[in-house]
Amino acid sequence: MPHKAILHIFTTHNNVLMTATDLTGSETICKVSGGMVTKGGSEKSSSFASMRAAERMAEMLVEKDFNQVIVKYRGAGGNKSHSAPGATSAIRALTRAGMQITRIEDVTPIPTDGTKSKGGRRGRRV
Amino acid sequence: MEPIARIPKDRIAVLIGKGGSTRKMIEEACGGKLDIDSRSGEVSVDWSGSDVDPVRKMKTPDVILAIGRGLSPQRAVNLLDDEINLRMYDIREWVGRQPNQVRRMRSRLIGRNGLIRSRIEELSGTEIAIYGSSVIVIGDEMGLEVANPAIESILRGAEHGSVLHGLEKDRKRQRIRSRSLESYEERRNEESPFDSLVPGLSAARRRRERRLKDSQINPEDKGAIDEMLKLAEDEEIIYEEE
Repeated sequence: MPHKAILHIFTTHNNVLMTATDLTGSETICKVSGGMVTKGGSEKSSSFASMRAAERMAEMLVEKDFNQVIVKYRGAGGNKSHSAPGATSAIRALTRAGMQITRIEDVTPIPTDGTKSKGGRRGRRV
Repeated sequence: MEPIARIPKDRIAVLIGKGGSTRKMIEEACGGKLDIDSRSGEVSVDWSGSDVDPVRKMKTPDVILAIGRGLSPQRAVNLLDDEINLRMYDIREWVGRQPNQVRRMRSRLIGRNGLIRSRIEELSGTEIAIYGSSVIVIGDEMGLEVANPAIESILRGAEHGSVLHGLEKDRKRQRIRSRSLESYEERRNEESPFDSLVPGLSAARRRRERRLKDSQINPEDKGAIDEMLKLAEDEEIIYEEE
């Protein structure tokens, strides 16, 4: 009997982290990061890395008898960038690997008023 | 039925189009059925019926949002592409809420006869829409990376000349990078090339690694514990008196 899992995808400019949990969100089933599938440090955030990570994730989930996922993706959020750079390619790779995606949610933390962004009034001085 | 976004009143007409033509185009492109409340501007989408690609489902709100913020529908449907992304700026974050200031920044971004905007679009391969106090840029990941510093520095008050100069330099760097072949190295557990010379080397290394990470052994597993406690050939226990 196949089960359903929640797949949390956290993408930043420097890395991508994927964690699959059960439906309560507290029990981790498996996790993959960008560094586990590539060798170069700067490649960790590439869309290729997120694709490979998603494929690895799908493999591991199938092995553990999960075939449906709810995807929750997020970017850095807050006063940083709200975009999640590798999310689309990861989801595309998941569908291609045969996972069934029931729902996609954007859970980027968005401030209602927020804090001051870093750098100060005169910006970053190089 | 899934609520997506609320768009300003004067953009409702653009979203629907003449006789509903634009709306039909969007519906065809994204595969759902749009429901537009023409009084409040609420847009929702109905996914029932056909089996829709999840990535498209994820990107449709972006399309509607972009049209609501002044992008033309023909250009906004490009967003359904996998590679194309959207980035949004709010001019008020930089210069405050005063309408005069917002207008000044808007004209700084557009330039005379749209010169600055078209230069940025051209050099970064993106498309820019400026409407009210919001600036919308769509393009691929690379293009957004190039356009981002240009737009932000104009909003911060940098001179047009230096911004365009920086853009050209950026583009030269990109061109050099695009000429070089991108290669990715994949990490996997492979046999070391020395294995053919020294048989059993990788097995010994694996055993050694396992011994180092002894906390990861399952305490229930008798065989694993025995193997961990077994000494390798080069190890021995020496009892000495102090």
